[in-house]
Amino acid sequence: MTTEANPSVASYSEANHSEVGAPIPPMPSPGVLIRTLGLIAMIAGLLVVIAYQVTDPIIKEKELLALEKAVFEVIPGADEKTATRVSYALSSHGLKRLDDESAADANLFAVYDSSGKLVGLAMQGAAQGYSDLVRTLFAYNPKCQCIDGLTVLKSTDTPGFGDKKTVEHNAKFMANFKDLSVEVTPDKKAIAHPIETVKFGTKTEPWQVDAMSGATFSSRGIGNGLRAATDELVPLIQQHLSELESVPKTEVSK
Amino acid sequence: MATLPSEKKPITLDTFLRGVWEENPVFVMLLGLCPALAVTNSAVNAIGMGGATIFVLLGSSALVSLLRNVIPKQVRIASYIVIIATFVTIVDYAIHALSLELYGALGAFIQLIVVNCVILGRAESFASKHRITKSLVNALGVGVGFTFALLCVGSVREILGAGTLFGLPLFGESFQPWVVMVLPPGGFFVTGGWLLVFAWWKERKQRKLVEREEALHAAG
Repeated sequence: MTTEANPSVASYSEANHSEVGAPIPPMPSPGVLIRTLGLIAMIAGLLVVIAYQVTDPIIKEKELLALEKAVFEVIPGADEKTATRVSYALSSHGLKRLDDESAADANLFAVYDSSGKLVGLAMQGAAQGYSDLVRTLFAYNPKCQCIDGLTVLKSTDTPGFGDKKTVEHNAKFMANFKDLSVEVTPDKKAIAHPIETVKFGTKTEPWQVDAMSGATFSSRGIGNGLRAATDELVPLIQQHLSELESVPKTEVSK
Repeated sequence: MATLPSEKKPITLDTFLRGVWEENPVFVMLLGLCPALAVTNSAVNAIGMGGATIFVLLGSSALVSLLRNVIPKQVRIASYIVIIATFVTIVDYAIHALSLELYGALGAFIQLIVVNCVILGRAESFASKHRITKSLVNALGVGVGFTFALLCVGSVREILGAGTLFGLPLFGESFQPWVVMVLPPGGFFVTGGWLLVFAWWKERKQRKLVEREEALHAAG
């Protein structure tokens, strides 16, 4: 039998160019298949790695800038032009100053004025809102032992109810975070009254957050995020306050 | 390199315009509805998503077209998906580097471009059978058509749901936004509305064509 008489043994390269609807050509050898897939995977890998290499420093820098801007915005009285921001990692093991490279691991940001005095501290809070985590950045004032500023970093909650814009335009809700008490116990081991989120219009104590009407879950997400962050960090801040009060002399290597 | 009969046809304006209008992926073919519904709550998001899709369409069409004689039919889907996923990863990094805000708004839907059937459809039915320039022109047409559709849906939803267009307020302070329009159901309402408009338009065009032919017959 010749090849002309039997189309099924026609060479693969010819059959590959058939139009749609033509029978699938015979299976090429496994070696060919693996080589082709290997080639494609190699091209793909190369392109992805190049893209990552090019964009990664830009992304890191932009995220740092965005965080810096948010920190200056949230701390009252922080002048972006003259103030300096310092990132810290604060844990029960102690206070560690971080350089810009590792600022992503920071959980505490301090802003100092031009004479090196502490203007304010900022921390991040995150807790489950209505649809996902609500991430906030808030300012802590160690003098009045209170929270005196808040911005929403990310919220995917319902637009018009719990999204960033609506929450930040809700003057009544934002007033909660002008003077929210997070006083520590006399031994500086814990918060005297942890932050509580209460139903709209029922706030009676200075450590309570009055929820937004119609967005109780989003309010609770913000309140719980604040509570978790302050429970952990505020007692530690009070313990390390003397180190935090002036801009650290020891420069970190960049 | 052997050529198909379809490869010899020259590139015409129709290669480009077919995807924009006659075979518009969203309004005519009803493909890629997931991003068309999900991220079109503002005009900016629509443009961002459209731009990302155009980039992935161009990149994957070019590579699929270049490799069309190398890829055996048995492993073509695996190959196309890997190629598409590569360009989606690139555009994901690129958008993250360009604008954190847009990246936050589009979220997981950038990664979901991998499974956008508009792109796999182009690779399978066009790029794998045509030369690279023709594939690029066709992919650009489909991409522009997709972006146009997203922008149509996105601007209506933003105007009704937030009272703004590209973030600029249109109606002043007293406007009470129609919030449901920027929520998921609004995507269905507005897309449905546009489909109705396009269907009506198409029917009217056909009716006129028939009337003209009848008139010609009567005259003849």
